[in-house]
Amino acid sequence: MSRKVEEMVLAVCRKHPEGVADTVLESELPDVSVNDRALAINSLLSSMKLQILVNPADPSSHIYKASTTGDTARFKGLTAEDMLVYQCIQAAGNIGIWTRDMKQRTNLQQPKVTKILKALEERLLVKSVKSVQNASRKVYMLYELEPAKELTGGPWFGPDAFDSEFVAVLQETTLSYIKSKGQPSLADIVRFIKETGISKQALQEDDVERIINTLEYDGKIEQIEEDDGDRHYRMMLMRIPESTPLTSIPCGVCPVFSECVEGGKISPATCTYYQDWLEQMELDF
Amino acid sequence: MAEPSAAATQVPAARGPFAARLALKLVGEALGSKCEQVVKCLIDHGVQQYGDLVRHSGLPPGQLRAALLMLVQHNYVNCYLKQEPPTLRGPGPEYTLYEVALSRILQILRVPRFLTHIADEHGQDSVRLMYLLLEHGRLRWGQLLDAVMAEAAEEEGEEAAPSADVLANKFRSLVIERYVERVPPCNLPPPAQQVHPNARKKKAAPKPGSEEEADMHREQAEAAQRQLYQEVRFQLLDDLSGGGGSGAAAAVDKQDKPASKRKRGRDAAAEEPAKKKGRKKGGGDDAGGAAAAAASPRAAGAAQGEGEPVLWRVNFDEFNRRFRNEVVASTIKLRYGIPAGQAVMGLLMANARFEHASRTSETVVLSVGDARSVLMRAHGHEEVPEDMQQVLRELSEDELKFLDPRGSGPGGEQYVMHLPLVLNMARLLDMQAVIRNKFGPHGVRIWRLLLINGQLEQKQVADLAMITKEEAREKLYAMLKSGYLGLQDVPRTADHAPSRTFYTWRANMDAGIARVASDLYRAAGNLHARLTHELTKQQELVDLLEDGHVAGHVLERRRDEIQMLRAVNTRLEASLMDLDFQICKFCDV
Repeated sequence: MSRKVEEMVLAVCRKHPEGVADTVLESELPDVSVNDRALAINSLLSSMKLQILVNPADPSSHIYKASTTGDTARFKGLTAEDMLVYQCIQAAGNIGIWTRDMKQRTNLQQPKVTKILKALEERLLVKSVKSVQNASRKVYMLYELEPAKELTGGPWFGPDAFDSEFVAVLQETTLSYIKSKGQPSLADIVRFIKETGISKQALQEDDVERIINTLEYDGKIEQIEEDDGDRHYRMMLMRIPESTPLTSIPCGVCPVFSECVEGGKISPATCTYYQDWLEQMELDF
Repeated sequence: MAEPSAAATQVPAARGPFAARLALKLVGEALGSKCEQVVKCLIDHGVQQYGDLVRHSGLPPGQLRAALLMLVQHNYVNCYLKQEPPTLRGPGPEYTLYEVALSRILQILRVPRFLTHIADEHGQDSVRLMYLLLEHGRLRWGQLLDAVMAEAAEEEGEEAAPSADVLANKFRSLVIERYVERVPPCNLPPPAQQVHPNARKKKAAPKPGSEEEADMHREQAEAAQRQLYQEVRFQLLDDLSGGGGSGAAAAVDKQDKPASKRKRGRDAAAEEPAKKKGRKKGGGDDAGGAAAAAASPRAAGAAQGEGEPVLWRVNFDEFNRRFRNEVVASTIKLRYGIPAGQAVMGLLMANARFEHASRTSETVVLSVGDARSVLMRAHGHEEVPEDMQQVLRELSEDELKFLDPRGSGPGGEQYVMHLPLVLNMARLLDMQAVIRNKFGPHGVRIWRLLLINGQLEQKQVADLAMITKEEAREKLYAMLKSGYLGLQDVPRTADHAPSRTFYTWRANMDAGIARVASDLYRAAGNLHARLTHELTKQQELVDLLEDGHVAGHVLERRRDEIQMLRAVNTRLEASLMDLDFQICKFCDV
């Protein structure tokens, strides 16, 4: 009897690949009593044929989802401690969890946690991801999950570090577009960036806005309010000058300007920067 | 003896150690080491009496007196007559106080620009008048006229030299336009102490017959004396203002006689112009006589009274005010277009007659009609925007809010312009260029980011500026060290433990501008020091060039060296003048 009920529950779950709530199971299996159904679900859960998940529509309830054949194989032979670690990682979602936090939550010893993680990684159940916030800290998350933006740093981070060149290319492209279009809106710029296909990852509006903001901070463009209520951008009317009288002499850009004293070790009379500057003039002369 | 409020209105950098160092170098170069020593003593010890100066300067009284008179003659030291309150035994003692006029000394760098400005506006004869007045510091009209005519005759010949009438007319224009002012009498009371608004205490009205009431009356009397000078500051003598007829020199100042008929002897020095400025090593003992007469309380004190000799000097403040107007108008033109720049220039020109100093916070209430008429008078129809009313209305609606509408009057719509807002906009641009040149493009990105977003943590800065954390840290600390950024700690616990403390960064525009101003004076001092070093290095060559009796073939043999020295000298001097252009924008307007 129980075997038959298990198969019926599994069939209903497979019919709903997105997951099925307990109430749906009850309505689809009206002849099965609550106790039988509970026994069957527990049996399926312990044999890894069924997964219990939080209902995305209503986080206070849960849903059941049939495991794929591969999943079942992957979970086969895992101990309760392995599952404890797995569930801990699963709960962390795409933010991931650090081994030290894992140790505290599962109450397991560090070597044990390390061993379990190795086993789970071999079975392709979890993966480790380096956080851009803390380069030395490795966090674990489910294998199939895409790491969160906070963790990877978004499209601006390459495999190892921040991709300054990519940012510079995007800035340059955006700037030339604004220059050619006059006063484009944010939506125009986002559309243009998407069309160019400059980024392998799809850039969202807020990503492009960050690039635009850097251009604004550089003093190259400025934001203007238009009648349509949309944000528009144009080239800065008052550009920052390339040079000033102060910075066209060596003192203006001297790294030891604050340490320069007449008669001291670093002094205007013995300054090598002045020497080079005047020698440059001699060459011109 | 200068404008009573000049020191109070200066920016802190113009009174700082780097400005003082530059001023010392300039005085030393222009008037010699003894004068430099006196100025140093006045800078170090502040306003003091002659007795204190004798004690502090370490100079023999004769040398000190000569140096002091030389400095007074060139308006680099102000004199005030301090009158102590009367006692029961009779009137209180009175003594003269000396104060260094740092702002006037620093203007030495700007002299070529002043002369260029005068040449553009008033022509070559006025340049000659200004040049000689600058060279001698203060002169009576007759002395100035004689000196100019003598120089013109020497350079151009007797026939080609301008007549006295022409020069009198030119001089009149210079006074009317406030480029030249009367020298303040040396019996003016010291300027009133400027108390910070936060430090002011509310005082109850003094009781009749009390000490406080006497003090109040004394202060009022002193203010009235200062006001009296302000009233006659640009007042022409009767003969000069009356249209300037023949024999202006004799008519203007009866004491002055033609140069050929001057008395020789004790009184002669009083009538001759003071010695010209130059590289003097000896302290200028020889200048004592003329300066003594020029600075004597009797002569200068009589400056207010008609018929008495009046001393004139160049009013640097007027030049700076015009330079300020140029900066304001060009900034507006750059941002809002040519008509806006012209309209603003019209407002500034209309405001000129109500201004007493270049550092004014706002204009008086001015109408569109005022601006239009003054522009028409100055430039004709060419420089007047077609729809000035509309241009000014649009400017008043701008988000910068530098033009405040004040209703309508007989001349049309009226406005008040807030000058510091526009000036800071121009300074801000320069400052950002300095930051970019000094700390790279990411430096200016971080600075502007902090200015726009307020206080941020290091991580936030790196994130919003889209640069690596390492670079952000490097730039932030470099800018902190140079004084362009501030760092504030916000502790979460009372123990201020770093691990439980937020560290936030911030950019402050005023602090940044003050930093650039201070750096400008420091860089100018360094540049001057390098220039002196280069000339000292080639002293033998300099001496050779200055010696008029050296054979041509000797100079020819060293032609390359001479050209190189000239090129180095020119480059350093040109850079110094360029730097002064920026100093003017940051510190003097």
